[in-house]
Amino acid sequence: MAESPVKKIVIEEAPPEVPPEAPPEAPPRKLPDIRVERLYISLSKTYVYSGEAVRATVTAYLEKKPFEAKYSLPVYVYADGSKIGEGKIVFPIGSDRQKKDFKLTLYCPPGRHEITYKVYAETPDYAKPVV
Amino acid sequence: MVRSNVVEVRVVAAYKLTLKAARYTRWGELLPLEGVRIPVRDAIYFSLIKECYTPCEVVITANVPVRLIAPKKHLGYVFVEWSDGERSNDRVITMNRNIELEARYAPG
Repeated sequence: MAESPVKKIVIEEAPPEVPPEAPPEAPPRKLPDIRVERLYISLSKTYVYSGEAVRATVTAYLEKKPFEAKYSLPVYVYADGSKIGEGKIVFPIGSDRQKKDFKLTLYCPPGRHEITYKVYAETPDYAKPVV
Repeated sequence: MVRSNVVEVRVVAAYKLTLKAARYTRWGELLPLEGVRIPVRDAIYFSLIKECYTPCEVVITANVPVRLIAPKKHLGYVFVEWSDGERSNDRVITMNRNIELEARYAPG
């Protein structure tokens, strides 16, 4: 009687599973700057004595509301081209309009009875996110 | 840079007028007298600048003549002189510097 063929079963160890590589972390998304749409200044008084303090209120309007972070905007106040005040306006999330008060003191130069100053504010074109 | 609107501010030279009052005691000392009414008026138009009750301070535009009228009598005291020696209770001064004046009274 012929012998039935012997089936040779070879058990091979399965190669170790290599866990799939985790995808590389995406770099943090850089939040865009937001453009300043408009700037407005108002004064508590437009006729003052030399050395008298006057309050200036600067209101800045952004092109759109910040949604993912607060935004910061430096503000400078000038009188006849000379800087007389500076500060920073912070826009919280959801607000595209913020104001800041400045206390200004203007003087009449010696020898002059009166002087008229042109007061205005300036900011950079864009507000930047606060990281 | 973004620039705002421009606002013009007029700044005028001014000086401070400080008004006080005092009374002489029988021994010649000077003691402060509060609440003496000395109206400060524009000397040309006689308009009231401030109703002063001593001690008081008022800021007045430079070179403006102001008229001061201290009361001749106040609570049993009579006006004697101002601290700079002026003997008239009704006087005009020109604000060309910071000025401090004291109206002096003696027992009436």
